[in-house]
Amino acid sequence: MSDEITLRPESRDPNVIPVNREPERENNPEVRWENKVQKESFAPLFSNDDCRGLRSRWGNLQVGFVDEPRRAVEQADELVNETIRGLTTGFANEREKLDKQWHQGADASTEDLRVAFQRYRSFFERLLSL
Amino acid sequence: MNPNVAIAIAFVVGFLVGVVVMYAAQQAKTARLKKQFGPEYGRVIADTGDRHRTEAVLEERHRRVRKLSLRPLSATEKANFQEGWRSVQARFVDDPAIALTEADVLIGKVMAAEGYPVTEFEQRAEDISVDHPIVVENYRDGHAIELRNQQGRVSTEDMRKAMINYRRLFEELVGLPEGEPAERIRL
Repeated sequence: MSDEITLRPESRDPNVIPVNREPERENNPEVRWENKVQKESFAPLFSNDDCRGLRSRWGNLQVGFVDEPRRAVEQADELVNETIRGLTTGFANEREKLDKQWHQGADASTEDLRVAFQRYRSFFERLLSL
Repeated sequence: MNPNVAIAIAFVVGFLVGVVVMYAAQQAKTARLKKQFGPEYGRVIADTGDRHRTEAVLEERHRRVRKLSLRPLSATEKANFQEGWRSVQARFVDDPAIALTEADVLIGKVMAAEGYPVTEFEQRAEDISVDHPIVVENYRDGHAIELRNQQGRVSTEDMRKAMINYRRLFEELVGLPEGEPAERIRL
């Protein structure tokens, strides 16, 4: 059990305590972490239009299962892969933006890093909650 | 010629003509019913084992259905039913058995909307056979699988085939969605 990575609210691991702690909430980090994760899990990784497009494609191929089950599974695989690619491309772009800032001599501002970090965490949390 | 012989010949000829006419009429009736009922004719004759009874049964069906006031579905009804079918078919992935039952229920609703009496399966199939003799076979096949499924003895593949069978009838009754390429939705 102790080997497991735990990102549960009750975790005291300093790595998972959120940055930017407000001093007055300091005494109750569990509540804060929980709120944060909940809020973040609603932050969309895709735009509404993209979501609609993807869902509608999924709907069509689900209807198609009865006609050609094997093809439907192949198409589902394709769509899932495409969706994951869409996500990783998004993160790669983000990373590139940060890299550019680093290479331009200046550090990326801590604020940019903080926001980027949060986005990574949001994605990470979602992967774990699957 | 002896008048008696002439009368006898006239009788014989008259009798022969009568036999030929009756035979021709019978043949015409058989041909008409075979054409109208297609495979259903063979099914009923296999059931009754007798041509006369078969034809009486089929003509009775025909008369009964002609007395119903059937009506074509409106464009809105068609679109609604097609939408309904889409969700039933999508449901198959999560629950094939329920999807199958829902498909059967949906077909019942379509038939009721068209003016068919709401009755049990065999009667419904007979009613359908009058105007849709080919797909009624699909309907029977699908229903047989559904019944076996209620006893829990059916593979998912069988249920999928039953869905396709039901859909053949559904499409015959409702038609394909507007602009839907026929080959996409057919097997």
